[in-house]
Amino acid sequence: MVELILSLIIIVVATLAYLLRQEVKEHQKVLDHFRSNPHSSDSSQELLHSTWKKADDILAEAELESLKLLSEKKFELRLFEKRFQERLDQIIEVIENNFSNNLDVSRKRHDDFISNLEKQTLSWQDKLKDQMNSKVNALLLNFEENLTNFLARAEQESLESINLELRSARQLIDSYKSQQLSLVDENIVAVLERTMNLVLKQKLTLKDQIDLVYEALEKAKLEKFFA
Amino acid sequence: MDQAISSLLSKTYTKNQALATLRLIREFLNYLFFDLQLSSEPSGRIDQFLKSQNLDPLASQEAKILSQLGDDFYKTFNPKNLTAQFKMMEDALSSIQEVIVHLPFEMAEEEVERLGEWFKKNLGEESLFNLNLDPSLIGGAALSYKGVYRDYSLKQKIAENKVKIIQMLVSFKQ
Repeated sequence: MVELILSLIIIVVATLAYLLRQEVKEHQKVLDHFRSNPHSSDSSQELLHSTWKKADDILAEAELESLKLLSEKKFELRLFEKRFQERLDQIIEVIENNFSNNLDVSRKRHDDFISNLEKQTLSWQDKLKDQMNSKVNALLLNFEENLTNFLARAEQESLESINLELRSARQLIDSYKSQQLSLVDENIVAVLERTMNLVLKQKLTLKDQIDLVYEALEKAKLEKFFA
Repeated sequence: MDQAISSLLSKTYTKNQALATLRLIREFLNYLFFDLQLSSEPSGRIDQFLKSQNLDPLASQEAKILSQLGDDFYKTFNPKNLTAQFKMMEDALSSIQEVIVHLPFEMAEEEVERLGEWFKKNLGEESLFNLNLDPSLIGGAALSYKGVYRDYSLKQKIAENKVKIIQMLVSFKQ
């Protein structure tokens, strides 16, 4: 800010100096014109003298004005600097106050946040613990139920297989029994045949035997066995 | 020749008997034609032949048949055709399908004759049979003819009524 003001002052002074120089040059041109023109030497000498005087006055005035301006500007600059510094200090103070206030507020909020977070974490922890407990309980219950069902099924299946084995064993026994009974029946018939053979040999007379033979032959003839 | 076979078959009942009779006839004709060198009145030389063979005409069935055949049978033979004729007769006899009668006992000669007469009467003069002993039949007979076997014995009757017999035995037990 200070630099800006100084630069402005320098620019103003330079502009004034440039303008003064331009005026001096013009006066110099006029002077040269008057010097070159012999007819206007006296009036021109007076004019020139007045012009030089005016120019000197203007230069002195300009210098005075520029000095005045410079001092005013320096004073204003100092005043500005002072005010700036004061303002700056005020602002800094305000900023500092605001910053500290904000810091306090942030700290407070942070503390509140942390405490809330801690509370929430604890509550979540409790909830999680409860959920885990309930899940584990549910899992254990499910496992127990499944195990019970499995054992019941296994028991049922083993009973069924045992029953099946028993049934097949009974069937085997029954079939063996019927086979043995049929064997016994056949043996009875074989024994009967043998017995009849032995008995009839003793009991049947030759005539009976011959009669039986002719009976067989007649039966064969009726059945056209000899055809 | 058919007449000769028919004559022989009419006097014999079993194939074995027929073949044995044929053999005896051949021996007799050999004796007649080659030993005695005779060709006529063969029936008058039968006793002489049987004596030379030590055969009793009353005891031997074949010897009896030899006598019963008659001169008409022997006239069909001569020294030249003897071998050929007998070969033909043997072949003819072998080709006859005999009935095999399976019996559970040994039949006496008389009964065999009677049985033979039954066969001649019921199956024809040229029918032949043979006997086979099978004691397992118990009673009655089983017959085989032309490759077919039929059981008409008591054994078969028991087998046919096996179930009834077993039921009867069970009812006795109860």
